[in-house]
Amino acid sequence: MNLLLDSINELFAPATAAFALAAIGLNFHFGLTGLLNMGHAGFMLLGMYGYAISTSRGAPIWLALVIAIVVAALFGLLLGWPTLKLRGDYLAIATISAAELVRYLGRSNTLQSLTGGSTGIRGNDFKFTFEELSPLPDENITFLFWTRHGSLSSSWWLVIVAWVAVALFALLYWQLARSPWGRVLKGIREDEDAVRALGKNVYSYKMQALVLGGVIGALGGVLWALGGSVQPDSMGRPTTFWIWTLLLLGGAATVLGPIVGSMIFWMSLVLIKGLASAFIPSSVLSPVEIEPFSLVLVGITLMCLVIFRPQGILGNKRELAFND
Amino acid sequence: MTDAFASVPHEPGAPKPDPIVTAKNVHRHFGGLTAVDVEHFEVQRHQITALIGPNGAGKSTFFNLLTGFDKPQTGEWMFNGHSLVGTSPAKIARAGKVRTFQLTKALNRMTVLENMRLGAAQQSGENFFRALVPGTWKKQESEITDKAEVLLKRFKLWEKRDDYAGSLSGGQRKLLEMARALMSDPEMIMLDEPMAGVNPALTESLLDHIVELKDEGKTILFVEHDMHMVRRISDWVVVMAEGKIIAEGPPQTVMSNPAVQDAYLGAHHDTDLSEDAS
Repeated sequence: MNLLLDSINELFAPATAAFALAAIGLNFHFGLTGLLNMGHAGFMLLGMYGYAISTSRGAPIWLALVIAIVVAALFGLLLGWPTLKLRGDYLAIATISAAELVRYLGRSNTLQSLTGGSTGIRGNDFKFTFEELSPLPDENITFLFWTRHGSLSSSWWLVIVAWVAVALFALLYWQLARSPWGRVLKGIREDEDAVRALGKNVYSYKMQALVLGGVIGALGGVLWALGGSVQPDSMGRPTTFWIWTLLLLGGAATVLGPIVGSMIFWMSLVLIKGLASAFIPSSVLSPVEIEPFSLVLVGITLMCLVIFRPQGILGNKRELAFND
Repeated sequence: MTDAFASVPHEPGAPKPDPIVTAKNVHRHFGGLTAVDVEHFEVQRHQITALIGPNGAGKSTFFNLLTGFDKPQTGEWMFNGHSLVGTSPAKIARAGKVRTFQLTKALNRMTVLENMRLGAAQQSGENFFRALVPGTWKKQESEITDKAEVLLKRFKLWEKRDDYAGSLSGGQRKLLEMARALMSDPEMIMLDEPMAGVNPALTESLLDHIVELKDEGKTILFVEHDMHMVRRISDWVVVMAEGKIIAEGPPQTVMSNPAVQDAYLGAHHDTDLSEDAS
């Protein structure tokens, strides 16, 4: 029973919302435009740094958000400028290395005064502006079966704000995907040269999609950081691949795919972890091994999904499937 | 309809009375291999011009150069009196010269109707900020849809409007690509092997559609291997071999030109052209 409540708790946890938001950004890249961004965690980390560093230097919350957005937008422009004229694979190579570059720079000793090196930035240094805005009481609140603090860290306040943000950006995706603008992006996903031959400036559209998706990724990063701290190593390659997995799990090129994918991903992680620790004796699998084991199981589940339902849970196989 | 060419000499690079496209000294080589070396080339307005030649003659490369999809080392070419040197494919399309592809580029995972809508030019909703406010593009969208409906009915694709383009047959995709190109009201349409992979049952209607375009006042330039089609619909034939234009003339006589026979028979003993020439 506790396990069930824990997994349901995971459905609406701030981390789930943060990943859902990042996946909405990736959906602009991959689902709509067909861009292979393999460095989404880099956008998220830049957003986190932009927000946390400016707040800890005394910036008000709106300015910190603007800085996070601008930093991610510049990163997108910088990455897209040389690579978007080339074939898709080059963007994948450039983004995966650029994201690692951001992480290594962040954890390097030279930038320690700014980024806090490999330990990152403590939550208390940058979360206060957001927490001060909370209208909720400054204490633990129990809603139905779940207890969270009203306004600190992974709070009800953050739950509300995070899901409102996810809803707004899902609406944005919905509106843009059915507009003529989104139609050009879908055309580019199918065949750039055909779209060029119809008189559209493909490079400019790809750049717009890359920057927009990257900025949304950065905001997802900010949500993630508001629930904990800025940790460069939490935004490595695995994070990028998780976001890809949950996007494909939910269904790329759909409005709700990233959200459903994120919910199922996080819930199954907790569920598998809980079941494994309840039913597998510690002589077979020690508690420290359960975490990697559950990730392995999630991986296997996802492989099965990709084999048997390549369009994801909500996807339209005729529009965008994983293996065609 | 041959009167437009009455005064045109039957020789390579012949000047036309009213050229819509003019190309001079266009030279494109890949490493040491010369793909295109065209001294002078003109396309007469409101007519159907065929560009033929044996495999490897440089037709498709020349086509790509004229539409901005490839850049030559030297040369200049004009469309409607404006130089197109260094112009991007998108700008060339916006100037009114639209092309199709040899390997059909139907946008497979979009519906037929969405393919058509994408073809329309100057859509305000294609701007990111205006896309956010449907009021700014809804009216234009319904105009575009009406236009697409007319074209789709004409090309007998209206029943397929909600199907994904990927589910169409090869010939239907060719039709869709042509119809989509017409959405922007181009002055000139360039068709790269419009008959390649088309089921014979559709060939006739495809040919009729091309002739109809001419009757509407559009200029057509096409690359083709199918000599039947070339003879049936073209007003003027330009023959390329080894990157150069070797002959020009009306379809009835150009194939008997000795230079053309040499180019084809020298390289290919068994094309259907050998039968034509006999």
